[in-house]
Amino acid sequence: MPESRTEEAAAAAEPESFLPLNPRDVLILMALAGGPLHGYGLIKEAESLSDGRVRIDPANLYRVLKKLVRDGLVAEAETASRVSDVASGDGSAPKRRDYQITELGSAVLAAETERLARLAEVARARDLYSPSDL
Amino acid sequence: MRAALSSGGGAAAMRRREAATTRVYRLTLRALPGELAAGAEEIATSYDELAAEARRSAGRQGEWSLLSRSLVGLLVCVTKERFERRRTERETARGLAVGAGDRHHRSKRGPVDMLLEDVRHSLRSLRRQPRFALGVVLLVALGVGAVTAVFSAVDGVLLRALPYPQADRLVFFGSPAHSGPKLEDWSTRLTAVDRLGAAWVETVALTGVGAPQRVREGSVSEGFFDLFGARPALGRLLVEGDFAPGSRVVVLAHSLWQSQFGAERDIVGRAITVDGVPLDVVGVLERGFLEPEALTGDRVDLWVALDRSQPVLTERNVHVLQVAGRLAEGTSLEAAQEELDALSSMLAEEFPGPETDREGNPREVPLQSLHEATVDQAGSALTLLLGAVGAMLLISCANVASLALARVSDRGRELSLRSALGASRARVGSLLLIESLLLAIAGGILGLGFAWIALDLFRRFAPAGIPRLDEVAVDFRVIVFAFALSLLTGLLFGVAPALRSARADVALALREQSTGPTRSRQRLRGALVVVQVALALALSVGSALLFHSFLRLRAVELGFEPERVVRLHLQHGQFGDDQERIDRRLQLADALLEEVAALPGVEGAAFGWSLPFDHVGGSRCCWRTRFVDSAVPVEEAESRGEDSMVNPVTPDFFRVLGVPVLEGRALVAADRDSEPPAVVLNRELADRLFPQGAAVGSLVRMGREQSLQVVGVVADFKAWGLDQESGAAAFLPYERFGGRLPTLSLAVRSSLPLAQLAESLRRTVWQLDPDLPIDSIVELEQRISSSIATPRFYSALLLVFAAMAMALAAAGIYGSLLFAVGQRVREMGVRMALGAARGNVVRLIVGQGLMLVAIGLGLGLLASLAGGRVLEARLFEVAPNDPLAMAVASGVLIAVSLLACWVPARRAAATNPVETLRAD
Repeated sequence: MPESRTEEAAAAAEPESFLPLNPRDVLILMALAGGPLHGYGLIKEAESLSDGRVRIDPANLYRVLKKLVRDGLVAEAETASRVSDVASGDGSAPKRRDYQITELGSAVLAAETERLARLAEVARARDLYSPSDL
Repeated sequence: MRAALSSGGGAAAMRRREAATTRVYRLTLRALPGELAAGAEEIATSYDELAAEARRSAGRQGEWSLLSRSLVGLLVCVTKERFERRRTERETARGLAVGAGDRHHRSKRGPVDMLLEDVRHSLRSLRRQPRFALGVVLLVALGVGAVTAVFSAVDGVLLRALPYPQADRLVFFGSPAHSGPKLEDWSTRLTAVDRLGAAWVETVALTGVGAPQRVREGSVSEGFFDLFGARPALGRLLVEGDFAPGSRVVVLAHSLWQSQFGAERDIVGRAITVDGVPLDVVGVLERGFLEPEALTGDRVDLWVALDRSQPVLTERNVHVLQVAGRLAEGTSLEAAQEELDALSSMLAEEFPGPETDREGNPREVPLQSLHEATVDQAGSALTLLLGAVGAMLLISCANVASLALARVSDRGRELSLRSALGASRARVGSLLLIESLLLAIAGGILGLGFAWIALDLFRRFAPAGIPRLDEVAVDFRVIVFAFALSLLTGLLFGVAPALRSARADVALALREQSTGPTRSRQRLRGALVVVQVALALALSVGSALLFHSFLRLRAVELGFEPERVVRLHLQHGQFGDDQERIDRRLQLADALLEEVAALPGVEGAAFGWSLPFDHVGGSRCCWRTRFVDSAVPVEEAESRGEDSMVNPVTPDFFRVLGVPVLEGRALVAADRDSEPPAVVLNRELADRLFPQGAAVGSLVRMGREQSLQVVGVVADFKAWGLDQESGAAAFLPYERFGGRLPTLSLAVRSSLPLAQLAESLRRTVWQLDPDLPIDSIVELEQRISSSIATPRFYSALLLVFAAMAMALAAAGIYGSLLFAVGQRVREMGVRMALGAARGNVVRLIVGQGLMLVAIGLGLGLLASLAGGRVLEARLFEVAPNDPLAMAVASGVLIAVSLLACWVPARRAAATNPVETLRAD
């Protein structure tokens, strides 16, 4: 599967064609589903969504966001970020860019969630896992 | 995480540091190729906020670990990005992708791209000469690995702050121990020290859980846990009420809780039996708490409150407490020492006698930083090792440099061609530098692996007595150190060839046959050989000195026969004067001796309060008092008496240990009731008390009044270590004087195998008293051998280093001469064509090599004369300029060098003059 798509291509794309998503991408999309975020806010949100298990590296985040933007799942936001009260180290106002999830992104996220839910269902039906194991 | 940071550091310093990590990250980002550099500003903004958060939650350490993580993250990103871009490009080329990403990165060739190209080129060129690359990597790994291993030990043991709050202000009250009243004086009258913590560690019996056990119990003062920042893992630590007389509570060490109580959480509230007394467990110490070894000496298993009302702690002349304190804010160690000295003088006036020494001077207490008191002599040992591995690293570097030099000469034509084709000298030089840095980094990584293994071995085989060894690990600091070291190494040996190539004469080198090595190049290579030989000799002399000293130590005359004697240490309760306890102990001892002596295979058994090598080292345990000839009036006893160790023993003591009785007789069973009590002196004490002889039959006074009759004199024997004097010793009937003693050692002479004997000894003891803990049962010879474990360890280690250094130096000589021979093939051909015999050629080459070796030996001998003094404190009956050690070390080195010279010389002599000249 080609990794990069132009936005025109993406607009025509079916959400299912993006599946399965990288777990890290799922986290990012989930984080953005609550509203626009900038880089640091996104890292923290992904961390809290994963109970602290996933810490996205800032450079990697940038790389992934570029890819998601290219694929049309995420866009740079026009509105202000949800989190804006983080003090920066040197006191000057940091240069931030906010990101938001696109309609396609939401659809892909929904499709991926459904796919995962179905998988979990199958696993549970076959006694492969019970929530208390975790 | 261990607090390795000093707590000071103002806000300004914080800001500077904060800027440092962020700046490093930003600079790295900007230097990167491709898309990431374009997004640098945005990435850095997120990074800033993460860094601010890390700083808030984990301080400077958190900040640096974020930096290291993020730099790795960057590296991963760059790799992934390149990989993806290539794939996209391939797909574009095949016409598969609809639209390839932007391509501005290809048009822009940043410094990083140039660097990458140089790296690729260097890798290709190294791949063509795998033996050279492998050799260099191994050499660097060896040097860096050894230094890194020792550095991590030095770092963990010496450099790192102790893991206690405000560790830099903790001080230790030196010289041997202190009395209870003195602690009281200090805590009420010293202002320079605002908190005090005292500890008294004893061995006690823990019964009721499995087999009875000897464990170490620390009685600590109120401020102790607070001073060292201890926290409970379970329950609580000691609180004020616990220090009331009669309180019976105990805090368990984490390790004891796990090993003896299965880490059961309901331990708090339960009672355990210590020395027959039930104590309530109120808490368990946290896992990471490290005892302050200067105070406790070793691990402590149980912690109880110091009961200051007990007799031992109310007497001014009973010294059992080890004390540490924290300097008041803004007070220097010197100021505190001054105040303490003044207080000591005042106390000396108030309490002449207990607070003065024999001349009436105040007993002064030296203050020392706790860190210094903890690492003590381990420092000198580790510094010694660091010196040794440092020398090894230098030898490796010199070796690598001469390898690299030879390689440049080999590649002279290729490099000159590059220059001729337009490459600047700087670029050719940087190519070589990159090559050596690449090798150095590879060597560094491998070296780190070596260090990890070496450190593991070191921890496993290191003798007891190196404090804080548990804290030692290959961690972030050590890794940074190893990399810095290997980069430095890379520069060190990369510089020589780089400089050389920058000077290379293009025209000269391009000619088909260059005219052979230039003078300066030869001289540089020669100097490298000299350096290697000198360093190898210095190391070898050092190891020969230590080894010689170790052999001397082993050859020491013991004065007794330890073969087939097994020792067992028994613990039967704390000091106690009541008659009932005394009677019980004596009965037990009697019964035990009888039963053990009757065991099949046992030739003899005897008790003593202590046996030879029970306590090893300069400090003397356990009973030391003054003896004087009874004919001397009491008032002169002070000046004419002799201090001596006192050891209550049973009649067979000397026979079992094989100590010859020189005059009179040994103690006998009848001595338990004889009046005055009998005493046996050793040769030294007898000679000192009765210089005219005739000790046997005389009366002596022990202490102030106890009168004793000398019944015999025995030979001196080593009891405190092979390197210690035997000293004066007196032996009293155990039955008369041993009942008050809390411990005793049993010596058993037997031809039975140790395991079998140990089994029946244990059974016998536990039949008589199932609650008696038994220390390990060991052979006396084993104890003697482990008493010299430290010198054995260091001499073996240095021997290994010296052997490696010698091998490296030999490899250096060999390589260097081989290369010189290769360069002079034509000359040899001409010489032989003109009638030189093969022998002459061999002599020429060997002579050339030996010349360098001789200079190196001279320098090395000078270095070891200067450096020998470092070893002086570790040498036993061997002078630091011991001619034997120097001769042996030089001899071996000369022999090895000769071999290293001879092989290339043979090769030179094998030159076929006709073929060589024909090729011209």
